[in-house]
Amino acid sequence: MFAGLPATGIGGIFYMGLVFLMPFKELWRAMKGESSIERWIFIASRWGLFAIVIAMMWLQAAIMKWAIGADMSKFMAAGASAATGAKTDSLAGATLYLAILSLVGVMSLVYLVRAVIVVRSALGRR
Amino acid sequence: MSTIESKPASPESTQERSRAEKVRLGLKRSGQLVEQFAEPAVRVGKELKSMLLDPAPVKQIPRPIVAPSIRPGDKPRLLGGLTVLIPAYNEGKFVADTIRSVQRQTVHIDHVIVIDDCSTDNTGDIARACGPEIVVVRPPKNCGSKATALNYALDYVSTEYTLAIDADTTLADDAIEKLMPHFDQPKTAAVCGMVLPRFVNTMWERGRYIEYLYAFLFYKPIQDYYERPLIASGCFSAYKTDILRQLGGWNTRTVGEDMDLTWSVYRLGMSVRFSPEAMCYPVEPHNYHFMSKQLERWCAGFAQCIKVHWKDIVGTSVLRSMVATALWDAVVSVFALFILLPLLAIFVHPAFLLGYFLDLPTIVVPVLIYAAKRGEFFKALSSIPAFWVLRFINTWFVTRAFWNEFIGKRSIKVFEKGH
Repeated sequence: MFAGLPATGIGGIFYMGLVFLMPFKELWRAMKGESSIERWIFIASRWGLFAIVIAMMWLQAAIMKWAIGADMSKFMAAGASAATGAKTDSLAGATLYLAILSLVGVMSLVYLVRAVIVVRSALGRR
Repeated sequence: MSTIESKPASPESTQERSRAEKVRLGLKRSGQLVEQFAEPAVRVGKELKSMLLDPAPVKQIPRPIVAPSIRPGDKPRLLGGLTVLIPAYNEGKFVADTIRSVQRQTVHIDHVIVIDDCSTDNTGDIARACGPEIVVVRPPKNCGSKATALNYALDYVSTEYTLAIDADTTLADDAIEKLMPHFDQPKTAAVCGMVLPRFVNTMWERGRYIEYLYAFLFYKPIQDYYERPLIASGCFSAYKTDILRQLGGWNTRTVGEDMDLTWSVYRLGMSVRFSPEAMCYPVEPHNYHFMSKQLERWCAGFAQCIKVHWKDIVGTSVLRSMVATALWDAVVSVFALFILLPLLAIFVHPAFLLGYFLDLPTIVVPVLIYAAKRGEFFKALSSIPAFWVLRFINTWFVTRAFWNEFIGKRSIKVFEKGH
């Protein structure tokens, strides 16, 4: 995201994925002798931040459920599940499912385009 | 006071060029002299340190950037030298603040060049009045874009590093000192700093304040960890001059010259870094009129850069996923915000309006944590509603830009910038 674009959406989940992968990348760097304690502290701070964000999202889901009532919450969750094909009775679960599904779709498309370009350029070289 | 007036046509232009070349050579020699004195000492110190403290083989030796001052009282010098370029068009109100903030830097700046792009106000005079070391250049006619104005001045740059700042942007006193050490890796071609609005008063400035806190302190450090900042902001970024020249300077094919340059750097296999400690403060649009113009340009720039660079983006790890998700969010958000949620709220249940706040914690939690660290908790808290308004406006402008660029074929080439 940069200023001028609407924030989050699947971008939020994507960046969460990047943070999740950081320790593995850092471990690889450590094996190459390129890691440092500052980098591990940075990773820990990002993990901590995301833990707080997830906790707050859970809290928000609970408040929303309470605010709109259990029946309405179930109704909305059923609608969201029907729309997304998710096997869940939770609104947050269905929304998350839809976002992850979109992210996987977008990523697959990007890698498909990349494969097409690589194959086409390889064929062009022949 | 050194002033280089308009670039005349030949044969004067040849004379002007040769004069600039002579100046450049002279400055380069003086820079080399400083390097000759400072570099061996730093190298010996580094070797000693690596022998005594770190006997393991070092894979990539960072190159020192800041050399100690030679005479007591002098500011530390940047090895290779640094030229600051300030493109300005009718920025008489702000340019003096910008220049003074450069003069206050804690490191020595070799040259400051203000490009007075045929302003109709007193921008040039104000810049000249700031000091004899300020070089003011005035192209023969208005360049029409910031990129062209910067390229005009690039001819006069003789230092190893070039820093571009907007004429309405002030720097923290230690901004350049904090920024330049990120060039220690040979692969680094550009470094950008942290941006926060100078004034946070109107709704638009408040919305932008939250947007910057979120983008620069939440997303950008993650992008930087993977060495792929999405954009080195044009309002405050430094570059290796030879890489800039290799890329032909700032490109004019898009209206987002900073993003275009950033992605061109990745194409070369070089990296861009982000320095969160290097602070700059631009003047952000204070009303809808200026905000709409800025958003129109930014969104069109993003769409045009995707059009120009898509093949390179797909071939660049991490960047491809970042751009794809940003693109998806930009395009889908219009459907969710303007169509799906209102329809569900009207025809099914008003509770669906809560969907607008579904990602509230994702934005609010990091923003408030960062703001609290800066002692600005309440300022951030009171600005959050403005961000939601700006987000709607962003969605509209990004949709319009993509429609114009890809479907309507009405690409923006001319734009109005500044205040």
